Amino acid sequence: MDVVNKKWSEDYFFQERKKVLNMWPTGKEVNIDEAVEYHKNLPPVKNAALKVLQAKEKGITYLCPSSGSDTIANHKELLLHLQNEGKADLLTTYIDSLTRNCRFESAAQELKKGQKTGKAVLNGFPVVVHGINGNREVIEAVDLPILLFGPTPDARLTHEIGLAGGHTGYSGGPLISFWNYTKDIPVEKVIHNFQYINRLMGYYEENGIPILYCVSGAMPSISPPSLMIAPEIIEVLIAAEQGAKHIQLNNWLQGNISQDIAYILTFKKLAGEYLDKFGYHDVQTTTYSVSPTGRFPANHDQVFGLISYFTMIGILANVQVIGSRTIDEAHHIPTKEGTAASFRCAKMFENMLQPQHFDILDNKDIKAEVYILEKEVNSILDKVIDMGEGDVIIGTQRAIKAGILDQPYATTQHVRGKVMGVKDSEGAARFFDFGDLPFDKEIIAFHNDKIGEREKQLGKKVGYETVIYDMTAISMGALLPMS
Amino acid sequence: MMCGNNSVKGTLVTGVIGEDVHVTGIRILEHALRNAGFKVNSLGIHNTQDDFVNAAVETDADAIMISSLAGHATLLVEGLREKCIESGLENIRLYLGGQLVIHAEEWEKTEKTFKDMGFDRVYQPFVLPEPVIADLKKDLGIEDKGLK
Repeated sequence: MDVVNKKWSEDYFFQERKKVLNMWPTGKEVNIDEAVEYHKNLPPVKNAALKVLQAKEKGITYLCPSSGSDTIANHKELLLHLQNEGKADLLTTYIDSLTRNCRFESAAQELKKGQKTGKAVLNGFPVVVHGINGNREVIEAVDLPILLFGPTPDARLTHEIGLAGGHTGYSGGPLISFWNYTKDIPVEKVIHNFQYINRLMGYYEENGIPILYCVSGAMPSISPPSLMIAPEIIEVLIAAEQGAKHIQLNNWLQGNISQDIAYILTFKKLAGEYLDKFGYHDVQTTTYSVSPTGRFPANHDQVFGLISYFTMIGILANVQVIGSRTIDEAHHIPTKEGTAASFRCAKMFENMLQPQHFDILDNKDIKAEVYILEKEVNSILDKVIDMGEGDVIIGTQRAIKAGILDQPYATTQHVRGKVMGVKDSEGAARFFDFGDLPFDKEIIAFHNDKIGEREKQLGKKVGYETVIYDMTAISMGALLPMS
Repeated sequence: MMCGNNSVKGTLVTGVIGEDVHVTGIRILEHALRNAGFKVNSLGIHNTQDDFVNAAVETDADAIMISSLAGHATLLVEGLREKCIESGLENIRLYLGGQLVIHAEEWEKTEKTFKDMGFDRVYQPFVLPEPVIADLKKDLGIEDKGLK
């Protein structure tokens, strides 16, 4: 079948399911109707989609970690600690790398090693190997909703087992998986795998079970936000077509307040507009903010400062969920104590700021950022849709070949890799190289002016050296490199 | 902003060797090399020695530029020069950069280790593209016509 943006028929979907459920013996355990019943009997407090909708209604913000350990016992212990000591509001099951690459045999072997020695070898929870009962044991041990977590080119079997196992959401997406997690896989293959996942979510939704799908777009690295928002909206449209009804918009914060808040406002607005434009009128969106993966300061005290800072930005922009990073992130996979401490810090900040409903959204700098960001995203998406003659998936394939959709520092061989960003004099990400993006004179002049201000500040032209030092600035203690 | 120069200065094969997904450094270098007018055949991540040699033969490359960030470079690049010679690439330049060793040691020692293996140039972490490009032009006998 050609990969196009059309909802899969149940026939085609069930045909594909037969293949996927055969990828590992635990696939045989999946009975989707039984799984639907299982979810119907889970209390609503354990449903991620319902919980974040509640946050939207009440005007509050929840905290959500990235968390995963190898054995059922270890993962339960971790999540209970985050629930009880960290006071997290949602939890995640971070999928280990072997499972993400469908190396289930290796995941099973490494799990055994971990079980024998008591010391985790895997860097996450091997969802597939643990089977439905293993997943349900974790779900039943906690009082909070749990989302699956981890971009990957093929999470189909992970979702069959993970959703049947009681998870009620997932964070990842076809485009982030394509640019940041693959080398040689064609984008249409990754998209096809995500159409399966979204169709599975659509099946649960049709049967009354809300599932929260968090799109992710791309991982930033001094990336002007249009580079993330455009692919995220494409992920939204692909999911909506397959029947996803609860979509969470992931906002990648990079540190400049006006730009970061503009990201959150623009993405929410444009996601709504594109959903409407394509006829998806019954999709509910919520927002989630996270500070990007990039080098973190080694010193815990500095990271507390960063955690507070990014919590502030999320709350000022009224997001429903904040995915807080942790104090020990720079050293190793976060420990439960590190995560709990980080969350207590974020929560303290939230408890001080949230009751004030302090509204700064009518700020001229934020508005200026929103204006240009809307223009950029619309320029890219309109071109993608045009190239696809109305089909956003066909458009995506063609746009990637033409450099209309592009990323710096992608692992995949299939992008141009021409675009590149650098910080301006206030730490906002601007285009150092526009590549082949379809931007008009106004957009180009805006970025060039901002870079001009940085050059004045530096006393020299911006170059690769600037880009490199910008990347490590936060880890060295500031938004901009300290001379 | 760097301006592109359309005349091809030289053909290169670039990439990361081994089970290593650190890609940012080589991508910055590739960006700079293309802007400086080189024809860059990027192999991306997860490459074996054979991947580099085969690409160099196919593209008639002047140099192979390898990035290695996981600290295992001695294991990964040993024998590459010999493979190149066997494949008819006796005169190809070999460049290496990244985080080449796990333990701290004097740079001169690290550099000598890889030069003895047949690398023409060996670079320390965080080397900027400009000196690498200058070295490449010198080694390939490319005159800078005064255009950046």
